[in-house]
Amino acid sequence: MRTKFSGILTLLLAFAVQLSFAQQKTISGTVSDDTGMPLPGVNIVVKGTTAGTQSDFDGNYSINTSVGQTLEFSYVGFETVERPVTASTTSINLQMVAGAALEEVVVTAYGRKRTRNELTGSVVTVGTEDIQKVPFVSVEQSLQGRVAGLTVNTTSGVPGASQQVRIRGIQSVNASNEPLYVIDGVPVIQGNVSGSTSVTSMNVFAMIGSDNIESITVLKDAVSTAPYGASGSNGVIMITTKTGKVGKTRFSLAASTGVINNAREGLLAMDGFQKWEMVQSGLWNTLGDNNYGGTGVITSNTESAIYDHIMNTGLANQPHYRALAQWTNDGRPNYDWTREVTNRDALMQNVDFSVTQGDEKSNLYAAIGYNYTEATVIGSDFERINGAFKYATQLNDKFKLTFSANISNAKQNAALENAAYFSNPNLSKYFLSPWVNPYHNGKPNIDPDLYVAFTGMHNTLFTAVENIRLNDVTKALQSTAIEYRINDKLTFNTIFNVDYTLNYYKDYWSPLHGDGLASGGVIQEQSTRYFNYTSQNQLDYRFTLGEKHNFFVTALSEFTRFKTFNLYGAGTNLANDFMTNISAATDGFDAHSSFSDRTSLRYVGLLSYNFDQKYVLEGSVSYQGDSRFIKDQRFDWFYSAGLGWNVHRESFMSDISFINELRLKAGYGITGNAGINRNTYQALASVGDYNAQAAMLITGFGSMVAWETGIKRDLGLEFTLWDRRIKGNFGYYSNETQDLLMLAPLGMSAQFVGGSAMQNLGDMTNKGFEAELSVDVISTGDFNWNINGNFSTVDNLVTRMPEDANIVTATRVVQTGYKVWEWYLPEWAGVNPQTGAPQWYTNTPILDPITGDPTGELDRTITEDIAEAEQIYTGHNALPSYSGGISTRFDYKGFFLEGTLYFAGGHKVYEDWAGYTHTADMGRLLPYNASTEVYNGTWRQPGDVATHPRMGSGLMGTTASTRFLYDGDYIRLRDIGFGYTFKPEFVQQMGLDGMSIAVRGTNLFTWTKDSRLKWDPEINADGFTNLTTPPVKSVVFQLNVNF
Amino acid sequence: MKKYSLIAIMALFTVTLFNSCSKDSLEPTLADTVAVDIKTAADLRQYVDGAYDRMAAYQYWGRNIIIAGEVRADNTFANLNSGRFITFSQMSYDSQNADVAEIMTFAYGAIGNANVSIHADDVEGDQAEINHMKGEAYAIRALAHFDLVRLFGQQHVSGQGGMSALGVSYATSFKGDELYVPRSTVEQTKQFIYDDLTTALSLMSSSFNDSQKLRITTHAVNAIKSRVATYFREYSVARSASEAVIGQFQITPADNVVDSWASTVVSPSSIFELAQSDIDNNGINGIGNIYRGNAYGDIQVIDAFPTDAEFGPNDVRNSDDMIRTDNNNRLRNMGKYPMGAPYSDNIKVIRYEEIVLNYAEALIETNPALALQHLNSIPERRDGTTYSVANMENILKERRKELAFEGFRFDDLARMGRNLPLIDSNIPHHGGVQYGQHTYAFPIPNREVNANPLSTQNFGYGN
Repeated sequence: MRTKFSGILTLLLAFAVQLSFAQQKTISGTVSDDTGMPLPGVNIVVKGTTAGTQSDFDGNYSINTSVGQTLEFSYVGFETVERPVTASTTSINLQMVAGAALEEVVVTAYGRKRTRNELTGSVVTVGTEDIQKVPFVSVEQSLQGRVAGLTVNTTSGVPGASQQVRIRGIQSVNASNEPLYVIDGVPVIQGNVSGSTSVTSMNVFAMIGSDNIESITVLKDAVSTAPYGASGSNGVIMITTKTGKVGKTRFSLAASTGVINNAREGLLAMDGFQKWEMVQSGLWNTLGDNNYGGTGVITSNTESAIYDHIMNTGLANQPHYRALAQWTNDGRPNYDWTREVTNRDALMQNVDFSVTQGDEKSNLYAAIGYNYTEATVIGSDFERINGAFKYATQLNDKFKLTFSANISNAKQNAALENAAYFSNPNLSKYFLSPWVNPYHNGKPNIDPDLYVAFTGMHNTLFTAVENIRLNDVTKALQSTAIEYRINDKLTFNTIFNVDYTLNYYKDYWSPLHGDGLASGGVIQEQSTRYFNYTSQNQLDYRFTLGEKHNFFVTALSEFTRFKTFNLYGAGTNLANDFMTNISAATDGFDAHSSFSDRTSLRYVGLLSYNFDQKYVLEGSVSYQGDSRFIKDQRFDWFYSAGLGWNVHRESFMSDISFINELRLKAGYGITGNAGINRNTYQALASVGDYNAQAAMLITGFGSMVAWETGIKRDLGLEFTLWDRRIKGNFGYYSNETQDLLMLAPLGMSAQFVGGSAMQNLGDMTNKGFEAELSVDVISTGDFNWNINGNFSTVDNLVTRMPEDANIVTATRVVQTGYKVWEWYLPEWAGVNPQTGAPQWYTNTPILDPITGDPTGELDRTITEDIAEAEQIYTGHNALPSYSGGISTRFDYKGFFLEGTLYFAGGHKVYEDWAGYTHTADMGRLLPYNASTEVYNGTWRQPGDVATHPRMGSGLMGTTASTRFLYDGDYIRLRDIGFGYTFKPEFVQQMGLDGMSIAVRGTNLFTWTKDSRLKWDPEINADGFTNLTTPPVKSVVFQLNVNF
Repeated sequence: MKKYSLIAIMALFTVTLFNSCSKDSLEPTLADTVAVDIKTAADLRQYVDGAYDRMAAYQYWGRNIIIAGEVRADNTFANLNSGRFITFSQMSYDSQNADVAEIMTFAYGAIGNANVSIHADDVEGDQAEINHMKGEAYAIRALAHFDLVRLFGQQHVSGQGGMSALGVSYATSFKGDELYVPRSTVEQTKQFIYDDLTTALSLMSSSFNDSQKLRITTHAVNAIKSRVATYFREYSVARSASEAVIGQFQITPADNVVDSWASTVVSPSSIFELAQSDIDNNGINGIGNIYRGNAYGDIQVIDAFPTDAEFGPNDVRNSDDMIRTDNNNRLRNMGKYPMGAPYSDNIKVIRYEEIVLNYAEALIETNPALALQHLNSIPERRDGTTYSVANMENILKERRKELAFEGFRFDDLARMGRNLPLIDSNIPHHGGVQYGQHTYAFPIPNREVNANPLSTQNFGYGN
């Protein structure tokens, strides 16, 4: 019964020699707290054995034991009580006393539970309360700011979008940087299951209701992650789902509702007048004033002269000037595309209902949940229903069966937002002209003359709403586990787990306007099935030699097969503008299917040893194979070792009363990363077609790749002080990735259209410090105040990269001696105050006049031709070099107030699309629009110290340079909450057991260090701003009722 | 108790067995792809056709290379409707330019398929047919390298050495002993092209020629040689190569000109086309949509073009069916690649009319009378203006009219050492470029320069 409460605080089990032939007897009784209220769920264990039970809802219990044994009563937040069983004992009633926190039991790899005293690794657990503080559908978002060294980047603010989780920086260049996700001990599929890469990603974890999660444990270091061998390089996130609790049937209802808005306003688009003023400036500079290359055909720099010139020359025929004329005819109204495409005060609502029940033999947990969340952009939302069921029963005194199923369905109306699509509503803000009326006759303006001719773009008020981009995902996660307790020391566990995800994706383009217009409408339907099964067999052996040599040995095998099936059909030329299935298509039929699989097999041996919980030794060996590698390189060995010293257990510490715990730890291990595409190791051809016959296209270059290896080193210090009111730890880590799996670019003349091939090239390190501290500042019965925080640093360096494998792009570099993907750009030297021309520093290396060798100095000459400016290493990449969180909570007589600040910085981010939003090129300004930064910052006359070059100076000013590289540092009020828990006396009158209400705000405040960074600072992990929906803030009301 | 132990042992045994069996079954399934391997003539056919498929991609012959030849010259400009090809139009490309990179990627992609086909050993099947297909592969390799050298070679850039300037890396094997080769000179590149065309002819037999002309035929090999020699102004080569084609095809008569573009039937004047069909085409990214699409439609005809090209009053090539203003007052190429959705126009790579004009040009010095006869044979069939003398000026004039919007104009100006004229300062265009400017050659894309240690950037693009 020791796993009845998985993942929460429970009692430490000591191993002692058990008496045999003892006299069996049954003890019963009632457990209450110090006020006399019955305590349900108290753990009652026969000391030295694994036999145990829990008190029921009225605090009653009954347990089989023998004379001479001792019963241990334990409950979270209360001091453990031991009572011997004598021949005369028949019942034990006791009042437990609230006390210092018990030793925390931590779940590590493969569900092995141990106390902190038995661990040498770095493990952080986030509990259910913290998980539910962040009301977003993707559960990983709750980890932001709560785990040192863990950052979460949001790919889109549309609900359900993927989150990019990075633990201790990025370990790989081209292989996956995502941690391994494990649910109830079994690795599961993760990542994006969206049916199209053009639209919002669909995070498979958005399928799991956060209300069903008991805790999330993050494994970061070598000793903790090495058991997962090949998959542990990027850290491991272990999710434990809720289990039934012993006691009477209890119901719980949690409801929340709120509003969502973009967390930051972002870059603002110019209005029609601002655009017109900029266009005048540009025309004057190019066609008027010949100081700046103007041709002199406009003779006067006045609005009327310029307007007349346009209307009296061939310019008047150009569509964008015709739009100007139309806007002028209409009286120059304010057409605000940003307002039109934004769904202000988007609604979110969530309801979870659960029931739990249990006795000493079996327990169950069942839940249903509903979530509806709108996006802050028009045309997108998310709706989910989910059910969870877990049943555990003791078949007899040897066998325990646990069955669980999590089934959910979500419908995400995604946004077409992953590139500069004409129908991307986020693009519309900056690319749709404020001279063009969004509406025509009360409907979205799609008039060929009044819209299409003027903009050349799509009206997203039509396409975002009328077109369909639906991810309809059904996920079933089912697990059956049998635990066989062979004897007190030896346990065998077998788990069979099925993880099935089905995404039906529908893409419908209306025939009336937009992408579907030319083809008379387009329908694409697709079903992708991800089927993954895992079989895990585990033998745990816990024993003690002598009095104090404690061993915990595990042998394990795990086999996983991932299968992906895809079936796609499409048709065009639709019968009408309302039937949206392929059956409405009359032409352009297309269909295809695909299948791929991946298999992994792992054998693991784990050893944990401690001497009297003073000296701790841990080790692991695993042998793992993955089908993604060529046959002779498929299997590899991974191992780890850790040492710990529990200083507080030494006798010389017994006099130092303020130290409760003091622990030193060190770890070393080898992990791996196989996070590359399937079947990359061989040269492959796919079937194309030419003139209706099969044609073979070379689609895989094929390269002999092997495991990417991670070498991790850790040092740590943990302490608890002053009656455990202060808890904390400091650590240093060093991760070295060897034989990086690199998608090495191929020259075009290597004749592979794919353009790159995976290779094992180069090494990289990530080093840093981590610290966590929690202080109970005030801890009285009525008033409690806790502050806790975490802080971590990452220092990244590419330590080896063959010269010809360097990745050099227009903005970034991967090269020995620099950070991975370090920003590498020409250096901006500002706008020339006299001419308004853009300028850069040449930064050409100065050579020694005698030897001809570089002196290390750079020539700081200023140039107006960016081709003369060398790219420089900026010393920064997109990865925050520091990050952390600070949380505090006040409790007073049932009221609570709490908040979390998250901060990150030391990195730089690049504003992409600046070529349009910050343009000085008439060819871009005229058909589209630009940001108010242009209006406010553009050079207008000699002497202006301006941020933006002369309008009409062309595209060069927005060519990639440090001009658009900003400090990424920011602070965000991640969470703030205020609530009240009603007194039991009060709610019992209403027939309830408990009730609480709260109001919570998420991301309500954001500060960025760099005032030029108008976009949300939480951007894609690659560091480029993009045209996806930005992260959101929310205000949500919550109600929880237990009965 | 004993019963359960037994069950447990059995369970242990079965699951362990299940796992250990699996170690050997870690072989992934190849369901949608095959390992690159050519065993039979049918396999070879598919790999050679793969090369055509790469050529037909919009990144290469399906659009970009045609536009590169048009929008940099004096026929068309990029109107910024979707922002496409503006850097071509302004000749402001740099080594990061994606369109430039795509052309090179897909040209070499076609070469890769050709090389895999050429090096296929022990192919089962009819040897003559196998030879013919390998000949096609040699010709594809030659044509693709020619396309690369006319875009990336520095023969027209001042101070780079003319024919001894840097040409392109001539790739003769896919994943061979050497992944990369250095850039040959233009002269060497030309010679490799000739050699490949000679090999192609020696392997091919006209009895295997594709009647639809959607694959390279023996005639097409001669036509390619005619085009290459004309480009390099090696008129004796051009003359003999053209002669081998002259008379094998017919010039489209005036009445059929419009239809010959709009028809799905391969025209009698066509020598080599790349297939596009209702189900396999470049869609909105194709050539038709960039000339007149609603959303794209970036490549607009310069207003002065019909006047500058000096079309006669009845010339069918300047009729409303071929060139006219759209309802947004933009002058449009309406006649070539006219189909619109589903964009099933084949891509006309070589038309007989070009070879006739190549032949006429090659004869200017040696047989002016015959040259004039061939030169006039085109306008005579266009209700156009005929010429009284066959000189280079008139040849270029007729080429501009006949081959407009097919991607020839830039090369015709460049190979004659002409400047690119300023057309209209009000349109987004290059504004006039002197012959010899570095922009006459595209930059070598960054990826090629960075990943291929043997490559060299072109003059004027940094490094």
